[in-house]
Amino acid sequence: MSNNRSKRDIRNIKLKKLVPVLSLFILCIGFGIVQPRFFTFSNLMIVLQQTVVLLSAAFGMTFVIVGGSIDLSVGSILAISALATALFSSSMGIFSFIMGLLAGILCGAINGIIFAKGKVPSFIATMGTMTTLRGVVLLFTKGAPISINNDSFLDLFSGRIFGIPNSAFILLIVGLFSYFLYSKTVFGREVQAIGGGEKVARLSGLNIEIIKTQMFILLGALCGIAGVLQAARVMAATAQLGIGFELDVIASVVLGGTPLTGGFGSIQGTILGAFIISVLSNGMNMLGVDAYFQQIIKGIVMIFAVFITIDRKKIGLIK
Amino acid sequence: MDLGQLKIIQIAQALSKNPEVILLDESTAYLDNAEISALMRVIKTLKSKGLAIGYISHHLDELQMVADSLTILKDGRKVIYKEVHEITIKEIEELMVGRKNTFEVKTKKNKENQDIIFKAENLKLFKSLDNVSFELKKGEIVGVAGLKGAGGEDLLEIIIGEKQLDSGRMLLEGKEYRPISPYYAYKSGISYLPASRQTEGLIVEFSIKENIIMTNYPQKIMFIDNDAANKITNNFIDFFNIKTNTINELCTYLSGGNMQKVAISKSLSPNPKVLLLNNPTRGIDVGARYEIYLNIKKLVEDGDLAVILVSEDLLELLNLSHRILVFKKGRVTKELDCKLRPTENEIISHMT
Repeated sequence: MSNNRSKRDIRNIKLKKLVPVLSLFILCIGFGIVQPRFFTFSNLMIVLQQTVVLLSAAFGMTFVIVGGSIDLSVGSILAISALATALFSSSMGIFSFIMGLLAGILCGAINGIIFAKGKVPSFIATMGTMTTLRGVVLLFTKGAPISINNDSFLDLFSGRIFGIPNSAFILLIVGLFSYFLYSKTVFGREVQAIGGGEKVARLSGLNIEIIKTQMFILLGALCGIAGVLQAARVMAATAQLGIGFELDVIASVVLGGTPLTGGFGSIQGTILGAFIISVLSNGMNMLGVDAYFQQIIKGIVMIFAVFITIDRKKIGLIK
Repeated sequence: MDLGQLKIIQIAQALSKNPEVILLDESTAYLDNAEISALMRVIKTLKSKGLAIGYISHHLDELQMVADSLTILKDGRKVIYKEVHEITIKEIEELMVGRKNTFEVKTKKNKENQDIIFKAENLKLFKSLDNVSFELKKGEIVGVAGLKGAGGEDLLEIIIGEKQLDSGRMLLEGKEYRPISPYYAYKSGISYLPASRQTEGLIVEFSIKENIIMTNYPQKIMFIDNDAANKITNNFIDFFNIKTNTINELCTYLSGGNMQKVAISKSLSPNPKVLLLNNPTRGIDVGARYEIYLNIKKLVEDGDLAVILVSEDLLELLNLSHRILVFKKGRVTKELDCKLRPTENEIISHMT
C-alpha cells in the first residue's frame, strides 16, 4: 500500500541529501573564520581551477559508480591524455586537445571491453589498466616532463577572462552535458537500471555489455578532457600526473551522495562533493596543515562518506 | 540451489532454534506439492508438541489443513476472526476480496484458424530439456505443467535468451529465431515475467514508472519522453487496478499483489507478440490474482497476444490455458486440450 512509507524513511532520505550541502557550507564558513584570506576572489578562483580537473573526471565517475562499477585507472588515463596532448601541442596547437580526448576514449574503451565483454570485475580490470597505462606514460616520458610551449593552446585552456579561468567555462559545458545525459536520456536511465539491479535490467532486455562499455568510454573521454586541462595548467605532461587522482575522484562522487552500491546518484551531488574535496585541500593548505596529515584527514572523510551513503542490503555485491 | 530449496533451509533454520512461537510468512510459495505436504506434516507435529504457530498464506486449502483459527486482514484492517471449521474457502475468498462470486472460471473463447507465431523444434539442453517441440498460435495460452526442475523454467529462459540451446531450433513468425541475450528477444517481440518479482522482475528501490518503462523507454531522439512515460504508466495502473497514490511510488512500498501487477505491466509495456509468464500469481492474494487472470485473458482474447504460462499452480493452468504441455524430466509427456476439461489429477498423473 502506498501509505506504508514511514516518516522515518522520508526523513532519512532528506537528511542524506542535506549532508553534502551542509558539509560544504560548514567547511567554507569554518575556513573563512579561521583564515579570512579564504574568501578572497583570487583564492576562490584557485579553488575553482583545482576543482575543474577533478570535477570533469568525477562527472564520468558518477555514471560508472551509479552503474554499479568502479574505475581506478582515472589517474593513469589523465596522464596518458596529458601526454598525448603535450606530444601534439607544437604541431596541432589548440587542436591537440583532440588527441588528448581520443587517448581518453581509447583507454575507456579498453576498460569497458575488458570489463563488459571479458567479464573481469571492474575493480580488478581497472586496477590492471591503472598500472599498465602508467607504465606506458613512463615509457614515453622516460621520467622527464614533456613541456607545452604552444601559446595559443595555453591561452585557450589555462587563460582567464575577467579573472575567471577559461577551464571553468569548459567545465560548465561538460557539466550541462553530463546533467542532461544522466537525468534526461535513455542512456542515463539504462545506467541507473544496471546499477539498481543488473539481473533485472538484463531480463528487461537492456543491452548490458554495450551500455557498460559506453559508460567506461564516457568516463575515458571526460578523463581525457581533465588531462588536457591539467596539462595546460602545469604546462607539461609528467609521469607523475594524476597519481592518487582516483581517490579524489571517487571521494567526490561518494561525498555527493552517490552510494558505491550503485543505482542512484546525481550530477549535482558530485559537484558538491568535488568542491568539498578541493575546499578541504585548499583550506588545509592555507592553514599550513602538514601534507602527511592532510592524507590522514582525506582518508577518514572518504570512509565516512561511504559509511553514510552505502546501501547495506546490497553489500554482497560490492566489487 | 533453486528458490524452493532455499525456502526449506530457511524453515529448517527457524526450527533449529527451538522456538516456542514460530511465524511462517508465505512459506510454501516456492515449494512443490511434495514439499508442501512434508511441511504440513512438520507443522502438525510441532503443534502437537505445544508450539504456537502463526501461518500466513494465500493458499486457503493449506489453512484448512493446519490452522485452528484464522484472521482475515484486508487493506490493513481485521475483517474477521473465526475458527477454521466455521468457515468455508468460498466465504474466506469473498471476505478477502470484499465482494461475492469472484472466482468463477469463465469459459475460454477459442479462436480458430489463427496463425502460428512461435514454433519450437526438438529443443535440447543438457540435463534439462530433451527433444521438446510445440507450436504456439496467436491469441493462445499454452500452459506448462511439471514438477520443479522438470524443464518449464529452462524452456522460458531459452526462449528469452538467458540460456543457450544445445540443439534444436526455434521459429518466430516463420523465421529462424536464435536469441543470444534477452536484449535480442525483446527486440524480436518476446517479453518475460521472471519467477521472483523482488530480485528478477523489479528493481524494488525504483518507482513504479521507472520499472514499467524499463523494458521499452519511450524516447524522442535519445531523450526520455516523460509525457509518454507517464501516460504508459497511468494506463497500466488503470488496466490492472494497481493501488497507489502516485506513479512515482517506490515498488518496495507496494503489497505483493500490486508489485506483481507492476512486474506484469513491465513485461507488457513493449507490446510483445509473445509473453512468457513464470508463475505470474505466486504468493499473492485472491483479489489481485483474479484481476491478473482477467486482464491476461483480455489481452489474449481481444488482441493477438500469445502466452506461454509456466506455473506450479494447477488451477491457474486449468483456468487460463487453451492447451497444457505436461513436462517430466525435460520431456513433454502429454499435451492436454483444455476444451476436453482435463482435471488436476490428470495433469499430476503425467507429471510424476
